[in-house]
Amino acid sequence: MISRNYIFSALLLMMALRSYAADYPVSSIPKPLVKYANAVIRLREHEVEIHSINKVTIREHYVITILNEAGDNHAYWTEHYSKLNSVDRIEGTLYDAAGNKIRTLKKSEIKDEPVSSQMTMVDDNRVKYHNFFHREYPYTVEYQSTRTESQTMFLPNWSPVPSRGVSVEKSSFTLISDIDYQYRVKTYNYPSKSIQSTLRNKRLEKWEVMQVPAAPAEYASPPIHEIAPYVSFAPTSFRIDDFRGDMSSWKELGKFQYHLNKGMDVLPESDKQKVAEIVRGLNFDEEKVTAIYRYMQEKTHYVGIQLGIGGWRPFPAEMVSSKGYGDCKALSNYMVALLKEAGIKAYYTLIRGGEYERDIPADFPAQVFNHVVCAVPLKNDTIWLECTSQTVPSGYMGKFTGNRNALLITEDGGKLVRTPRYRQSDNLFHSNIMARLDASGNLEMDVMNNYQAECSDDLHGRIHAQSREEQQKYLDKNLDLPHYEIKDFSYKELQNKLPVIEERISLTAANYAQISGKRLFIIPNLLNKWNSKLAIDTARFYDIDLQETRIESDTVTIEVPAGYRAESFPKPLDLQTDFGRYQSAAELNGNIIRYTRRLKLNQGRFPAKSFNDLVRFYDQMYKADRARLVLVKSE
Amino acid sequence: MKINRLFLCTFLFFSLASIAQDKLPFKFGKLSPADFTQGVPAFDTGAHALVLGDVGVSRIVPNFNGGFGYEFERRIRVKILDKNGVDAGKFLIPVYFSKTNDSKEEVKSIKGTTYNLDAGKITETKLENNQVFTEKQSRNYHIKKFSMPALKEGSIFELSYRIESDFLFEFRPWVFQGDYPCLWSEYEIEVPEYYDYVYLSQGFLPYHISTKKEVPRAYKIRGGDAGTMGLKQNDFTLNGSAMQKRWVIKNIPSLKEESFTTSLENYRSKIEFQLSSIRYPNSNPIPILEDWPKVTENLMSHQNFGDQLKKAEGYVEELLVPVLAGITDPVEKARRIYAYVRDNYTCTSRGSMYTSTGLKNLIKTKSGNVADLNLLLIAMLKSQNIEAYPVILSTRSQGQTHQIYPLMDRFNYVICAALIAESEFLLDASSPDLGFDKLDIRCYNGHARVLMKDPVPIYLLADSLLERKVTMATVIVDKDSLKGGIQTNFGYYESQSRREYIREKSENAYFEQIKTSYGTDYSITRTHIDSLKKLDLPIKVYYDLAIGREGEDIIYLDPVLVPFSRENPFKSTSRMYPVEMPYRIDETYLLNFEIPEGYKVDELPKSVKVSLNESDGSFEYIINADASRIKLRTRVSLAKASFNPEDYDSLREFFGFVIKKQAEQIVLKKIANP
Repeated sequence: MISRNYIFSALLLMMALRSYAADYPVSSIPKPLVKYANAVIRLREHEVEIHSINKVTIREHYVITILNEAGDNHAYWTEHYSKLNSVDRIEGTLYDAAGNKIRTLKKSEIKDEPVSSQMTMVDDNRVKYHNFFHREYPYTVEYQSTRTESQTMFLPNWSPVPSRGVSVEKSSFTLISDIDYQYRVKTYNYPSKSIQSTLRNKRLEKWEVMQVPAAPAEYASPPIHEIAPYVSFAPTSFRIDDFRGDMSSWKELGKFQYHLNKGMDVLPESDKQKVAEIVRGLNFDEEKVTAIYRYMQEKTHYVGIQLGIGGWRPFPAEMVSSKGYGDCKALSNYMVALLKEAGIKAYYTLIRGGEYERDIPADFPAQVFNHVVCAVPLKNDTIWLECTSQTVPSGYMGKFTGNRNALLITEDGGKLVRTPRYRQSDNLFHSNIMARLDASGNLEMDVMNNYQAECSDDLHGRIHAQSREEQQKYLDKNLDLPHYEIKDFSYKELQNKLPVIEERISLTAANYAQISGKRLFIIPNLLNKWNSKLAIDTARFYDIDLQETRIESDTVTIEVPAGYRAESFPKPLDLQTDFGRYQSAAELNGNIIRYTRRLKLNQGRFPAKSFNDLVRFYDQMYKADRARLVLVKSE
Repeated sequence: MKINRLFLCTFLFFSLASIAQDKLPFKFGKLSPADFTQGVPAFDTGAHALVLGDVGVSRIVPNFNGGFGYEFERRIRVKILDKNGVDAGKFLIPVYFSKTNDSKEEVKSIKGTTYNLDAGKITETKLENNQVFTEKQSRNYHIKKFSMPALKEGSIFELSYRIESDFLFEFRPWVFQGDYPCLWSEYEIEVPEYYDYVYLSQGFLPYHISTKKEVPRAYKIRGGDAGTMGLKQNDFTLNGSAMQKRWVIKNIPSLKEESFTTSLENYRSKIEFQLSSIRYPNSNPIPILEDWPKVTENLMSHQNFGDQLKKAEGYVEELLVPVLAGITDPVEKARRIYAYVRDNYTCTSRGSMYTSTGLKNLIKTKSGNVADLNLLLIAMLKSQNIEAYPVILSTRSQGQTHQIYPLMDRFNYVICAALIAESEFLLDASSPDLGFDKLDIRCYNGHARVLMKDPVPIYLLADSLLERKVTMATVIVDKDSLKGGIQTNFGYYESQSRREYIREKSENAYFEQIKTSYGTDYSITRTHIDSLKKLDLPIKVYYDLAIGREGEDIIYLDPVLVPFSRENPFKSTSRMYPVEMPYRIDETYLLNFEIPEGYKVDELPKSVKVSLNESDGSFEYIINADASRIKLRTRVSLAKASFNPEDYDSLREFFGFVIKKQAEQIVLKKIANP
């Protein structure tokens, strides 16, 4: 009876599919789904069947209507594959606006390429993709594909709204497994519960969304993963290549990695001697860590060779030592080994790198990491080391790895810990400019800038990637002055608790000030001007998510030719808003203009209705930073 | 006698010169600690790594298939100057395989050693074979990838490898100027008398050595069946000669990006080869590189080019029936056809002179590449007995085409030339914002070829384009506000970019952008655009603006509401290569300002006129005032679009002056007791 029922329902399903597949006229898309949309997912059915610990089948049916050029990138069918998975079947059809079939996919049109052809990457990952490259809008593409995974360490996740500008008519995700197969689920922004059923000794669990309108693209709106539904899956016991593991807890997941890393930390004799040499005479662990880290940075550089076990096992320390390169795993493993040799306990640490990433939930152990760093817990503090950088100061975690959960791989298994976060009072920019104006309006200035913590991230990258000539070229092009020449400049990195870069520049700006018959016009804010302008938006949809936080303080002293008095000076300004505070003031004492500016930017979430206050705040800063002073000759 | 003596002298001179300086100043494989003292070269102080020597040799020799192939050998020595220079030790070697036969390339004996100086001693680290990875990009293209080991600041590495190739049509070019500066770059080739190559050498750097020499050679032809030479024996020897050529350039700086260049590739020092004919013994020469008429003939029957025009003869005419109803004038017909193609077909890519989908499919799907669209346009014009030809060219970012040799891989774009009565029209239907007889700026890249029976060159020059822009502002100040009416007549190309913006966003969004640029305290009203849809004409933009004010005693006024630029477009203080702007500029701003009641002019900027290098350009700023109004006229014009690097400083100063002058203020003062 059961089998007959099954056949019957399968038949129904097929018929249903066929009648869908016949056409997808654009006219049948509900109006609300077109607003803000570049593409509409008409139907997406994901079916993931876990047959065993080393076989998973993923069937996908995807129908999307592309409304305009901006939606074209959603018309691709893309499947990544490697030694651990394969693409078994792919069919595709193109429809016109009325839903009439134009043509079907030809096998020869499928592209098959390595994922990355850059030099820094050697790995097994390849990608197959297809596109009809149709450009008469709107049009609809339909793809049906099946692929097989031979590992269960990573299960597919469900992200029904892939990005802004895409609406969804109907999207579902079904997980099919043996009744006793154990997996865990974490849902985000998913309003209802999953539907569970059993069929032929299989357990089915289904999630579904319908009629989700497109999210508009707005300035500083929250990242898509905070507003769109998302369901994440993780196995309990899993297998990858010939390795089995358990991720029901962070501890168990850590054990798996610990096991993989075992025996990879053997150092050659030369490195052992080198470590002994480095730590000789050093008394404190902090000093030793810094010195050994420096040694590792000078000796190695990043080359992304990721082969075997899906790229999850580090290459041996010995290999990094002889070749002088490795990827994040190999380099971090090498660093842990060097510190071990010095008698300092350090941990290989899994992390998810990237800005604006979804935070890893402490209550949902899963393999969601994409990067490795080294953590050194000392008596008072933990020192964090980014081993793929040849330049980052010891202990600093920038925006790529800071302020998030990370998994320490210890001999007792995994331990979830938090990487450091830098606060407003840490992220400082301070500028002090001494300038002299001559009688024809030419300005000479000496600039001294200090960048601390996150304020120093960009500059750090630049000064280390560029030669002096390239640094000069950058300065030639990027100062906020209409016309100028750099005379000299220098950079100094200070070894404080937080990274600080000191920048000195001397330059001349010909004709900076206008000197007419009896007046002198000058903008006293010489270099640090607010540059963002926003358009008023009366229909703002999302809350405002401001990520940057810092304090800027500027002092400018300008010596002007004698004999002038102030004719028009803007009143001191103090703008206090939820988004931050801006203060500026200028005064003339004798022939000295003194200008001060202070800006505090707050991090946080602000209601959508306050958006126009933000627009005005930016606009007022923009204007104030360009306000001119007028001096007139004393009679 | 005389001739002989001269010959002898020249000969002596050359041999002396060769003794003095014609050899690589070091030997590969031999290093001493002194070699590590080499620092950043004075001719390229921004370098992260320095190529001490890069020597390539390519010889055409018999392969094992009964014909010839070539062997390429390269040896390179590099010093890593700073930690960013380790990237110089990363290599990608592409390897090709034929799609249609068993011709192929093979990389052999990759050997590398890194040398480090540690405490006065040199240590060696070898590149191991298991660190050389092969990545399959596609069936006919693989990449060998590797990184030199143990590289750090101060390291020197040497690398050598050999490639055996069957592809004589792609005889290996040599790039003297790469990503890193180089002290000595040398290339030697040996070509048997049977092969004629055209040498295409480009760049600004002089050859230190450029020599040639003929040598006798006995070629043993092995294996294969009949072979490419049409000879029947399996193994035999050919006695002949070969030409050896050798080029050296010394002290080569790396090529660096600069603003306002069409394509940096035009300036890179390199030498390329194009097979022009094959002359095997006892057989007729086989021409390979053809002349323009022959190339045109081939193209006109190519299945992705001229053949498409022929096939289209039958079916394009009926499409035009509704388009041309009642039209008899041929120029008007051409206009209608042009507009029809432009407005009804979408161009999806612009990188090829060959059709992608073909005309039949284009008509069905309404989308194709630039060749599909413009060939359809040509087919349609021809169907109405209008003389029309394809014109092939290379767009600005692609580098220039060769005027003499028809090197087809340099062409990437096709437009249409229509000849009606005595007039010639150049048409491009691929951009929805272009008008009749207008081309995109990117097409103005010098030589282009009209594919007529006797193909003629035409020259599309940026210098021939004039972008004229006039802005008129009328400003009045009343008790509580400052108000103005602005009208800007844009030049054609600025109109095109605004049309594109408005088409993609909206007219509203365009004015919203203008409003944002003035600030939230300004209001923008009475907005209007003339000729937005008349694509043959430039647009005119109108709007009124107003900002509130208080009755100050002194009014400071920025008279130039729409300045030429707020920042100098030429920021860099030095320049290596010519400045290539897209067109000549002529920009005028006129202000008519009504002095408010109760105020008088207290200060006015001075009028000036300056010129750039006498006649290359001019700037004027003429201002005068009477009791009731101020009139200002300021104009920037350039007489040409391209400037030599020597003119860069004066160009930069010129723009600096324009920006400063246009930022000057007018001061009005309340009359004490009116």
